[in-house]
Amino acid sequence: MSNPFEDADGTYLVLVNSENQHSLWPSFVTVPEGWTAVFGEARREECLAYVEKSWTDMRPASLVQAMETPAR
Amino acid sequence: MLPLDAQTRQESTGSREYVQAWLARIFAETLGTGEFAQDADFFACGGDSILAARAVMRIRAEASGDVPLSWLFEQRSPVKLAVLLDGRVRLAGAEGTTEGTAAGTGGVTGSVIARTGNGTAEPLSHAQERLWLLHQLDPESPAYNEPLLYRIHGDLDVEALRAALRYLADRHDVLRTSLVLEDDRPVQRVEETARVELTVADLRGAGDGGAEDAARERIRTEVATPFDLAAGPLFRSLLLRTGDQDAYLLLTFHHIVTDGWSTGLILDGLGAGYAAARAGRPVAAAPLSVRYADFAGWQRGWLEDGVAESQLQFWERELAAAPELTAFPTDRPRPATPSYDGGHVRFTVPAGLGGRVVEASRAHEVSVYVTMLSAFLLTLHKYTGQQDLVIGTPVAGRHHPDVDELVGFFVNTVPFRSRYRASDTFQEYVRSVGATCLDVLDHQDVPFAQIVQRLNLQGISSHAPLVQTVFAYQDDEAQELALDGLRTEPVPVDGATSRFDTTLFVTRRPGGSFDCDLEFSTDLYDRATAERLVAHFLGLLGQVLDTPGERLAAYRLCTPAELAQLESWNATTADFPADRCLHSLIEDQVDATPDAVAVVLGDTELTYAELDARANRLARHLGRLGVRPDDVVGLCMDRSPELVVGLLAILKAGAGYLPLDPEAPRKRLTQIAADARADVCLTLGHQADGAPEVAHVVRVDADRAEMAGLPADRPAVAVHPRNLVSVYYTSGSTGAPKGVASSHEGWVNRMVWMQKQHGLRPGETVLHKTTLTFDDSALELFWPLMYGGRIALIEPGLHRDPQAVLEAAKRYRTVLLQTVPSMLNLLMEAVTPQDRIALGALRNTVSSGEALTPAAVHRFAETMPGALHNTWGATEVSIDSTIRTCDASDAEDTGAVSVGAPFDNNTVHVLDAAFNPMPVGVTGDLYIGGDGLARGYLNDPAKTARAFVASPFGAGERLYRTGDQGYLRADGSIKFVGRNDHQIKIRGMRVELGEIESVLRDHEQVRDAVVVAPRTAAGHYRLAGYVTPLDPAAAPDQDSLRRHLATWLPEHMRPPFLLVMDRLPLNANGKIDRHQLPDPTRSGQAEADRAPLEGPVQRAVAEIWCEVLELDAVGPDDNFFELGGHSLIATRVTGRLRARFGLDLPLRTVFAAPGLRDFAEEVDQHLRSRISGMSMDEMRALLDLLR
Repeated sequence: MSNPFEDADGTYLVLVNSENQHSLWPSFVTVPEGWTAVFGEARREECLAYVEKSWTDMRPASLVQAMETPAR
Repeated sequence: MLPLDAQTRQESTGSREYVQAWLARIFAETLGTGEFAQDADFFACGGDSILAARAVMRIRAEASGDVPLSWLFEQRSPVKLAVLLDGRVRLAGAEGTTEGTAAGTGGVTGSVIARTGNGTAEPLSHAQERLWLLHQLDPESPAYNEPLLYRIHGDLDVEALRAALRYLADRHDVLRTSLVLEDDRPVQRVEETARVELTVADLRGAGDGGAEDAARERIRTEVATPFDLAAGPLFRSLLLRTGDQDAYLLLTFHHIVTDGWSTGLILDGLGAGYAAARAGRPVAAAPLSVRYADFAGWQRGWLEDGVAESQLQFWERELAAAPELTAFPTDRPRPATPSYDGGHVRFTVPAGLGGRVVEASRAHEVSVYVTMLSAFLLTLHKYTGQQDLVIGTPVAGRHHPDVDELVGFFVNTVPFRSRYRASDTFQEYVRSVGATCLDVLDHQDVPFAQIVQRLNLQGISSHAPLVQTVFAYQDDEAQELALDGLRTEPVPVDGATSRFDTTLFVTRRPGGSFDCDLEFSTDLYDRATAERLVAHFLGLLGQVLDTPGERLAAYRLCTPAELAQLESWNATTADFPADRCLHSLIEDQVDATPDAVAVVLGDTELTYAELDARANRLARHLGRLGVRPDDVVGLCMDRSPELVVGLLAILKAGAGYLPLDPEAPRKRLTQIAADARADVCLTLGHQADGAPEVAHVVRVDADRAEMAGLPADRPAVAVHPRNLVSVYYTSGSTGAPKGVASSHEGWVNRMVWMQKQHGLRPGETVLHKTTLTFDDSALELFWPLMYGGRIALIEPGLHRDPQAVLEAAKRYRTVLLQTVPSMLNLLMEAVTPQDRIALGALRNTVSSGEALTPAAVHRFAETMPGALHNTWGATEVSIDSTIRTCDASDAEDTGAVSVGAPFDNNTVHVLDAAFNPMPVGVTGDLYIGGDGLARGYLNDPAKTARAFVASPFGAGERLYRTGDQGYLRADGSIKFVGRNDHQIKIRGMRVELGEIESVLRDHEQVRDAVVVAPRTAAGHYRLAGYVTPLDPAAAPDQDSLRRHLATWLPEHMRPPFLLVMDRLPLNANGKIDRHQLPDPTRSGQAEADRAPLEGPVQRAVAEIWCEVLELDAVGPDDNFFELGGHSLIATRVTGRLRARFGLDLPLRTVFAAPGLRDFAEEVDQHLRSRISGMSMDEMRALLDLLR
């Protein structure tokens, strides 16, 4: 069984959720609820390069917010 | 041979020493060696059955009294044999032998039958030849019986029925034909006159309802009775009278004389014959212009005239690099030799749905056949996950008009290759299937066997070559039997056989419905599986009719009821303190039981309060060094109280801890610390030199004075549950290690569930033995601290010593052992019954990290106290996600023990490549969801985005893609099958190394096994298996292992390299280290280093192989099929063995033992049993042949 995320010839999207988490996503599968396509459809390498470039703070958005709010 | 000196014999024939020396001399001469030690084993010194026979010939020649050959097989040395001979045999001259003919050893026996009166012996058609070969492989199989069963009401005229049958056989010569051997080749022999017997059984006396039961039993028996192809006619007629007006007529044909088209001709002929006989007149039908044998001859000429070659070229292109095995996933491992036992699931596509199939076909501009085929292929693609597959489909093979009226076997099976592209719509797919169909029909004439041969696919006897799954479609098969004045009704007969793995028969009925029958091999499938398969086929058929414009990826196997079931298995939501961090929960416990012992190592103890105070100071120190929430701090030290202090301090400082193995090379540690951006590392004074090069190395013991002045109360650091708790590095598939960034939230959930599951009571002890770099160690540390338990540390370096672990477990009275299966096996080996008693506190043993074997479960029950749990998960999802408490059924399981079901706030999904959930029993990729998911891979967004992916099952949630594959069982528990990335292909066939391993582990003398598949210089995988013995004193030998493998696995899955090792190399985490396994030494078979043939049997076999394969030389390591042999040539090999040695070797031996060495061994075995019963003269004649 070939895994949908390992197809070097496939085309992909980059999805982002409200926590600013990023996901590679095969373009032939419906985008799940709660996720937005922010890049693609493009080749796998291009999508991963986009992720490298744009997901610089990997902390979930809720944590970033909590840490920026002064401690109670 | 040297004649014995008469004098010597006279003098000392009574002496044992003399007999021994005499035997040694005979052995030496027989083996062609100068000397033979008197205590040496004849067979170990190069003897085989033929040489043994020679030796016994010599013994008999000089001794009086009977010397059976078996004596030499039992008493293999001169010393031992002499004991046996003593007193029973008198050494003498060669008197007592009688001259005579060597009956029964010369020509082919039994099979040659005189030619028919007209002298014809015509060749078989190609299709017949294929069936004939299959029959030779398994002559007792009724798999190719074709029954026709009718219920008859009315006044049946039995004599007229007899006449009708006779008429049928008179008209069609194929119904008078036998298939006999002539010069190693099968030919058709046609009887002049029909020999038709109608067996009539009166079952009316069987009492109420009994007649029907008796009829059913007779029918079952009759259909299961094989034919002897050499003794025609190849059909049988049985009439069962069940009432005064009721009867069953059962006609059973061998498929080799009939086909679906023929059925119509047979039924018409019977009706016409019956009517004519009743009317007392001949049947008015024009005589047939050709006979089946004429067709067979014509077909050969026609095909040889270029048609076959051009079609074969098409098939070569069409099937280039096609998979050799396409089958629905099986319930059981494939036996080495199929039994052809089968079952049936009959179902109907009702007229409503059927009508929509017809409409859709019109809309897609394809035939109804193509639409049904497409739905079936789609089912198969979805089940197997294969994007490229091959099935078979029968074609009528009757395009020559002259054969329209002929009964006979004309059908050819043609391969059908299908490619699945997830983004194609069904509309596009069905059209491409239609296009392929036209191509296939243009090239349908070349016999299937020739395609197989051209593609060089013979030689695997465990599955049929090229085609294992068949789709057979018929437009309204004729089935009415019109008997004058009688009411008749066809009755379906479910034979207990299956020709292929599965065959779907679809027959279109006049009313618009479709009669369907799924025939399945019971070797491979349970009925429930076949029934689910049918439900999924019908479900998919409905989906593609409803929405033909969807992409193939969107169609799903699961029915709505199945989806609801899957969802219920994942309903694991449970409360846990999601707003708390690990260390704050431990602080609660400190406040509750400050004076309780938290940590013990030998004489050293730390109370909860002491632990907290030391950790607080250290945390403050870390803060001074600049450590902030979400930073990473290294921890590189042996098991020690300081390690527990360090862990807690890092969390209190808000950072995540990075475990580093002090035994690992310093450069590697520095690389990891740099990758994790850890500026601070905690260590011990004596290990500081091995710690990574970071900005601040803190010696928790030696630098204590520096911290002594710091306040002992808790530092005020705001730590969020989503802050890092740890960063565990694992080896990445790309080679560079990657760090899993976990957060408190997931770990808190994991620990809270663990307490629910295992219920630690305050004051109880948990042994901490697992290396810190293995995430399971966290369970041994944080769980007890959260619930008032005591952590007992095993001393550094001793965690790999099973004896030391047992001693510590006893001494500290641990209630839980966390272990990997490899270590568990060592523990179970070391544990004594006394230990078992001393381990009385041990309630739970948890296996994780590797597949647990049924054998281990069995052994655990025998040797260890408490319960054994199997868990599965990954660091990426907070250590584990599923649990199964093992019971007796797990000890009897095959493959790996189930990993159970997801626990609190975890979900597991078995998905196909398009994220569709897989139904029960179908293997897919395993994904884990829920609160345990880590943040991702530290500082590696790309790897994270590939492995932590969007979930279709919860808005905005993610799933972790484990890379594991598995399936769900009917109870919702998960079976692990293998790794996505350990899957390899050998000769185009998917091979799961795990499957080979599990077969090796099933060997009764094997404890553990690992199989690797390094590639040779030529790029081929070479399987290598490594096993450890259950009992070192009784290690399995190579032969026994190979026999075991040959019993369970097809040839391509049997590792040529096998090594028995005392133990498998383990890495620091206690898992098997595949890289440290010895290299498979043997390389490919080169001409130059071909091993010499050994013994006369190997030489005789080699000679025959050379003859039939037209080769100059072959070696013992050669493979019959790799040398170009195929099934027809194989019959010549067995034919020649029969002709030369009178040996009746089953044809399947060639398939079962394709290597010359193994094959010669088989021949040798057969010769042994044959020679044992031979007279001296017979033996002499045989030996002459072998010279």
